[in-house]
Amino acid sequence: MVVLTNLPPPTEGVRYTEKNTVAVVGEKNLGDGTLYIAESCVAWTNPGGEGFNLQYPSISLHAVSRDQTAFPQQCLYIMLDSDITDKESSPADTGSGSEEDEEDKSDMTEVRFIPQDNTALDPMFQAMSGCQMLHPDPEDLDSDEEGYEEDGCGDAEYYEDAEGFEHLTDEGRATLAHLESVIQVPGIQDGQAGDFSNTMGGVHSEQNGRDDEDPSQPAEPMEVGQFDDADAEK
Amino acid sequence: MASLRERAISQNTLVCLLQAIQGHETTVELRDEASVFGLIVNVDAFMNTTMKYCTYTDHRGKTMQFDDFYVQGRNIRFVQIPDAVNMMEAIEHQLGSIERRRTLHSQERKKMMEIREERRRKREAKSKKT
Repeated sequence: MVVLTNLPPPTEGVRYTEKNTVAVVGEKNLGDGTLYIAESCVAWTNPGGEGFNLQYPSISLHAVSRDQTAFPQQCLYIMLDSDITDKESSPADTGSGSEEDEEDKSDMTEVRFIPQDNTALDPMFQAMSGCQMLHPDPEDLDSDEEGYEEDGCGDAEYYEDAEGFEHLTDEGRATLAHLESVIQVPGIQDGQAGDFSNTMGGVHSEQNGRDDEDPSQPAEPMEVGQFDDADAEK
Repeated sequence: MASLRERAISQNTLVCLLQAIQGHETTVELRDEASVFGLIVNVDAFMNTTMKYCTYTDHRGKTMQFDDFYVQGRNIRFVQIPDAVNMMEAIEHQLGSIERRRTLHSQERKKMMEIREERRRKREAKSKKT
């Protein structure tokens, strides 16, 4: 049995709402209701205010089914990675996996949402895909990605000129001041270089000197890197 | 292509090979012994895969047809690379197209930096005069 609760439908980050949508969980038709595809979850409620939520990480796959030999109506098909239709047998172990019943391979639930309006299926699918991307696998965030971040390819913001100064931490300001004081930039006297735009560019640039953006001063990013190291060891 | 991080993953892992077979028809084998044959529409950096015109075969051999299909990367066990695809060429081509996008981005940035530098110089010249 699917447990219907009185959860209020999501209000924030709702990407798509479809009224007059029948929900079928496993073999059980739950009747007509409203489907909400939100950034945090997929929710469905019936006119009585009862419904259920599906969390994105538990959704193995979703698809648009128009094959009426497999199912009589066109629907949004969702496969969950656990069996939520069999709750009453063991209400105690809700979250824990099912190591004991390994022989039972149907450790999943099929959920179908059947909108009255068939043309809603495409936007429903797109909304689901968009939201699913917001929930990358938590176990998959392996150490590799930290490496990219260190390479300067992470999502961290970077600034290229004086505007960025106010976003620096105290430590960052100290480092910048130190770098400013030790770096001899060629041409600093005639005002060609040596302001924030150059130093910040050298320190935080996404390319980190991999691009030959400035062939006239190839040594600059290297120097910055060297002093950075020296500073850290003090 | 989305964030810098996703681009970095695409550039540094073999997910770029899967991105290179976008537009091909192939079979994706899933973690629960099911498999899907269809057209690969999109593979993101997390291997989340969007397909079209699919035949889904579950572990008991029952099949279902899906017009649109989306599966999370972590549920994918194998992606069959079509024989017609030369893997090395596909990877190199894919990396090339990522690189081209990156170069375009950095050229735009460089142009902007030049404009800013020009503006700054003008400002300085002005302030020297006054």
